[in-house]
Amino acid sequence: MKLLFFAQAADWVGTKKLEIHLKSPLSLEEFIKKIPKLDPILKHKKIIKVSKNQEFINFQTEIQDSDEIAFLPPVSGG
Amino acid sequence: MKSLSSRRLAAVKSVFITRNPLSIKKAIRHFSNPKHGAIALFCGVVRNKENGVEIRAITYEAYLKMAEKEIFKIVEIARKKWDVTIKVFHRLGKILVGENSLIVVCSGKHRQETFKASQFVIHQIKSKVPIWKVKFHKKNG
Repeated sequence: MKLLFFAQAADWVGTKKLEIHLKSPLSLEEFIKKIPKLDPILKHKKIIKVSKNQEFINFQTEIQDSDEIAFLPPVSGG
Repeated sequence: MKSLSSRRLAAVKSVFITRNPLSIKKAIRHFSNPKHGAIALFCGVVRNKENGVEIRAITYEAYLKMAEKEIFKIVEIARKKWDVTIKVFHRLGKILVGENSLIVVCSGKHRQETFKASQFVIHQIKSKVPIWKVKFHKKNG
């Protein structure tokens, strides 16, 4: 599974991209709790948005190994 | 010189995200609908101050695949709601003070729906689309 971290999320986690093999589907929140490196994401859960294959999801959405998950801090385009 | 197919593509495409400078002249090139009596043009421009600090540029970054999809969805909503034609141009990378970061061109039959659709699209882009200002380059930095 591909994990992408944008803007401040990349600073919080210390990388822009991670590849992690996921054996079986589970909720995004359950997954994050299993990976210590992703602790900062849970700390910012209230402000961060998440997407699966470029569609917004929530932390309870089920994810699987073929997904591209992105962590999106508050946007500031325009 | 551009091929005919790329010109046609530019005429029908509604979302352009690029690292190149944005051109107002190019942005309004394909707006020539004789049924439309109004064209609204919005330019987002990089200011010389951010939070009271003088800057010379801002670097923008995007989740490109998703940003394109999200802007397209926003444009489609506006197009159906107000019967308008819209094109959105967003620049990424390092953008100097005074340069355009965003251009939204909207044409419609009358000014009311054209302004409303244009404002809707700009507001939605600024609040939803995964694009970020990731670095403020200080003037004396």
